[in-house]
Amino acid sequence: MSEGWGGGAKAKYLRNIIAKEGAKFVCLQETKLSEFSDSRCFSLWGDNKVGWVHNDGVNGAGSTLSMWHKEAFMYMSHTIGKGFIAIVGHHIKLNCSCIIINVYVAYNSSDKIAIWEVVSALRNLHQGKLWCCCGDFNAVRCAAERKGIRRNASNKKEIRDFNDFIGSNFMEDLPIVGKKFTWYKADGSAKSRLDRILVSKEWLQVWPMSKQYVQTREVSDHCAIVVKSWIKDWGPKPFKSIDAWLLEPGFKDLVREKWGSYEVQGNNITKVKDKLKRLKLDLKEWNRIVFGNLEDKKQRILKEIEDLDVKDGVSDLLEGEKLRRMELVSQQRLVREKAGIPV
Amino acid sequence: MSNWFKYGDSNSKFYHSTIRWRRLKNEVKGVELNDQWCEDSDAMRREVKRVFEDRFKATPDLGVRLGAVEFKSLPEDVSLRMVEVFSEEEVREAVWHCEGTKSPGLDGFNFNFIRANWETLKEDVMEAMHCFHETGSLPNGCNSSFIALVPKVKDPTTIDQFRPISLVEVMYKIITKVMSHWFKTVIPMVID
Repeated sequence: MSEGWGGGAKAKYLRNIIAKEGAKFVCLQETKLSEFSDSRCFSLWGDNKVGWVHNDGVNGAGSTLSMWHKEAFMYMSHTIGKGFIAIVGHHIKLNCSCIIINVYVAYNSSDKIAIWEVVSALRNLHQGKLWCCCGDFNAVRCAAERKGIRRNASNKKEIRDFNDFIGSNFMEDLPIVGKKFTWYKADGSAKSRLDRILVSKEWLQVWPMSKQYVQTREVSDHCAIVVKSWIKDWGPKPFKSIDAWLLEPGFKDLVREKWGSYEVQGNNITKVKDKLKRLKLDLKEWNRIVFGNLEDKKQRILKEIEDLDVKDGVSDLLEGEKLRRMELVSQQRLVREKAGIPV
Repeated sequence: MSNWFKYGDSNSKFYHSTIRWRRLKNEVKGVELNDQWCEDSDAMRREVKRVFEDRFKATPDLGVRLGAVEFKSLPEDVSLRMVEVFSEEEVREAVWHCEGTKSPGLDGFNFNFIRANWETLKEDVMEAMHCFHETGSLPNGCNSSFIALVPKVKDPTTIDQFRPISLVEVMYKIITKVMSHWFKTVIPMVID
């Protein structure tokens, strides 16, 4: 995201980020261009595998630009209006529908409300799709998101309205990483979080670790924001006992048998510690054999239940079905505990 | 919250998206080091170590002595009771008092597990309790704990914006629980 095309510096800044991050979709606000061209776009992108829609705005004011990688995103249609471009398309690798709305909301509050209404209408029209609405909203969600700007009376109302807009459209505000603010006044006397990325729950199902990475501010008074879903690898997860094991027949006998077999040395407190350590290793192995890969097992059981349900339409299979369902309950407990949610 | 009661207890879309959101929010994403945002795991590990070493190091002796103060003391019969050996009932009670599903420490066992297998474990646990009674100390390495970092603010940027939660091991928890039960009964006698 960047304001104004200016000289070559901004284009260079963008070209760097696009190349470094391997961008699949880029939304720019305030290009301040009254028209855009293929050659400009190709030079930004580094090659010609790029599609684009430019909203010329009024004499370049309120102009926005959306670009996408043609090998990652298949364009279907778009809608353009004052201060926004909505692109509907298909994520090729995941084979699912996406809508990405690039907004530039002018400071004027009637324009603000007009855009919120358009976005809400589009939201209703495209329910269930991977949804992302990003850009310069010229509004904040709480007072702490603006620094150095004198508050006026409309501020509180604006904050409330913006939060209502986000909440009523079931959009999630992704965690922000790197910086707290996205806009800085040139002399550093004021800063705000005017730009943000809002996504739908469906988006988070596909990219669960999506975050807004605020980039360094170099060429514009706004910082570029990169969205990526990146899972940090902290190494192996520590062992945890799983409550669902306790439901498994014969589990307590196994624990008793193993516990009795350990020969350990040392002080009685160290002994308990060492025995628990040995038990941990044995239970790990036992878990692998008995429960195996959870996802595989879950899929297998779900499939089985579905088969049973189909058969159930023809003849009674209630007993078998009941057993399967019980197995599923045990599965669920496992998934729940592995996810670290209190029962 | 009401949604949680309605849909939280099943393998639902709601459940999974709640988990995802929770994971995303609680993840330690990076730290600010010398005004620079840093996401390198090793650098983050070093920073966490530095912050907690600093916080938990011994404070210098302030030179305050309370020798002249007359403290209230326990009646003799009560103070004798304080050094009695631990009984199986009170240890069992402590074990049953611990929340079963709380996150485990380095040993990895929660109290649902300990309770379900109490018949197997109790003998060794009691031996350990007696050992602690005799020596009055925990061997090295028996009181190590995980420190889980829970964000205190939205989008934290430094380590002190996380609340450290210590996850202790089973034996440590039982010992402290039993002792705190004892203290609970006598503390009202020595404070006004």
